[in-house]
Amino acid sequence: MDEVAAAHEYDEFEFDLENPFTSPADEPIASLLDAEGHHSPSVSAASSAARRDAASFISKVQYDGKLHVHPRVAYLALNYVDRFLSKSRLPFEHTPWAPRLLAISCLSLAGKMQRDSAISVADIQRGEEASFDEATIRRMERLVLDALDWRVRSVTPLAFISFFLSACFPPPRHPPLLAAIKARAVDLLLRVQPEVKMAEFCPSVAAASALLAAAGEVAAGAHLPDFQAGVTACPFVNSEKLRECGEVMAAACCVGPGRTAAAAASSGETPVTVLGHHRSISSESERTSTVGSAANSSDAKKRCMGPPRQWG
Amino acid sequence: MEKYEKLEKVGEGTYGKVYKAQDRETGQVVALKKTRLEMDEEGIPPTALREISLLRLLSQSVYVVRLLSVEQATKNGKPILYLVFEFLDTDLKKFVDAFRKGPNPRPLPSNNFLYQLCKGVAHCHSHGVLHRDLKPQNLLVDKEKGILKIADLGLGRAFTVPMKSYTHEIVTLWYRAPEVLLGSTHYSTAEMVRRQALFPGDSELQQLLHIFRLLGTPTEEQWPGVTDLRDWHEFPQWKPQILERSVPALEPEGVDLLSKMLQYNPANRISAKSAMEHPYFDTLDKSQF
Repeated sequence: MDEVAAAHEYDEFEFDLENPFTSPADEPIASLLDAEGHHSPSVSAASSAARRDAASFISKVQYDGKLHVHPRVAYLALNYVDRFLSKSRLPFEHTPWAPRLLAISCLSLAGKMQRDSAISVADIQRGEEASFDEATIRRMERLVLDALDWRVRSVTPLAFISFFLSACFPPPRHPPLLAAIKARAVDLLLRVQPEVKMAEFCPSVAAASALLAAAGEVAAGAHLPDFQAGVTACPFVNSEKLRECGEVMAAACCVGPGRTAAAAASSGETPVTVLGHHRSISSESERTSTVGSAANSSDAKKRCMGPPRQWG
Repeated sequence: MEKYEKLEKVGEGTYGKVYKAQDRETGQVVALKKTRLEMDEEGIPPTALREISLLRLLSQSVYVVRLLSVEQATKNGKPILYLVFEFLDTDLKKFVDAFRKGPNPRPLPSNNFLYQLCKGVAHCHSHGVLHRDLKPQNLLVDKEKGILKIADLGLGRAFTVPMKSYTHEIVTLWYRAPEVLLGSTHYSTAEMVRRQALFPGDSELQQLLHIFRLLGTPTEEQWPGVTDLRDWHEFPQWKPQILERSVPALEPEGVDLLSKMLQYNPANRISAKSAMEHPYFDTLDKSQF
């Protein structure tokens, strides 16, 4: 059938982190809110040693200029790592290689989810003292898929950006301004992801907070009060969490309202600094947050359950 | 796969053999769909990964046949993927036939089923998925619970083998929207509930003519851009028939909804979501869904 063939030329099953449900849906926010609780990592998984090692392997690959690993692939991969560790015990977790195997498999899966992002598992292992063979990596991929229950269209903070901009940003809404805010917010979210404390916030709150920080820089504060009021008025946004998240983000990315775009652009942009930041902050939060935080994925669910039904 | 005992082969789906099987431990009866996917050293192919994950997302709705799990087995050293779905033994076609041919003909719960279908379709659309091949054979019925579920969703690119069977093709045609038949690549969906197919065409041209005879040949005015569609040519000019005559048993609200679903211009066709608000469903207790 020609029609069938024609329909397949464009790939409708493409996965887009900013639009995980593939199309401009009628009311995407209800579906997103419904899903976010199932997709958020637990605090204990985020603060584990395995997560730290896997995250630093992903960062290393991401910032290796020769590998051309797209930042979004790295982002999705770390999300898989977090979700895997929240759901399942990493086999051989105490060996030095297990977190690396997990990271490689998650990078490979993340690459498969996004077009033109295939990752060569041989390339990303070059320079490692021992490398895993294909069969081992494919086996680990299957373990990850099973643990994630094949729900690999992750609902991350990036999925909420368009919603907040279209629902809460005050007029006049100049497209170039919105585009700049969005770009900066995405950038912030990609950067802050390794930060352990971010696990305390559900994706919608993280997105809102990144957007407010971005708007504070890009729009030089002009639209900020109205935008902030709009975001806080969303029934599923907990303003206390929003404030806390803003603080974590400001500390991790050296940003915040009042800083100009130029200042933000000149600070902390090199991979080394970002990594350095994340290391120091995470080790600190590990000490403070692991005590008494036996969080699991159901906690994550609770954390993220706003009153979503009324939005359906 | 030792987890399941195959009971019988129940069909050859568009993407491989389908078995009725039983979970040895829990006794649950399932539909096992063996995919034709071959996993090489690259592991699970990207297209399959994207589609299965989409299916996973969609099957959260009770109005979509539930994907219970994805199992991986090895045959002759090659890994094979099985999709494990909930098992339902009746599709809407069988269900309607049973009503029609049964000893005591009763009215079909048409508006109830159509409402459920709209709900399922709206759910799929809200996740950006169009079914493209909605037809009674792809709508399964849970007779005990009275639930209608959409089956054979999504799986297109990674799994579908070209449909060779002539009969299969015909069946599929009956429910195909005119813009698809005319070669538009922007699909929309049309659904209908009737005891007999409204448009039983046996070729694509016949199918179009069937539609045109009932609804009238579309004009550029009615459907801007129709004459630019790829497979458009000059057709006989039919006048629209009175829809009520084709569905005499349907109450006026039902006819009104049907006419809104049968709009030529996809832009004017009622969406599944708006259809759920249509007066045809006013007599229905919607809290049950």
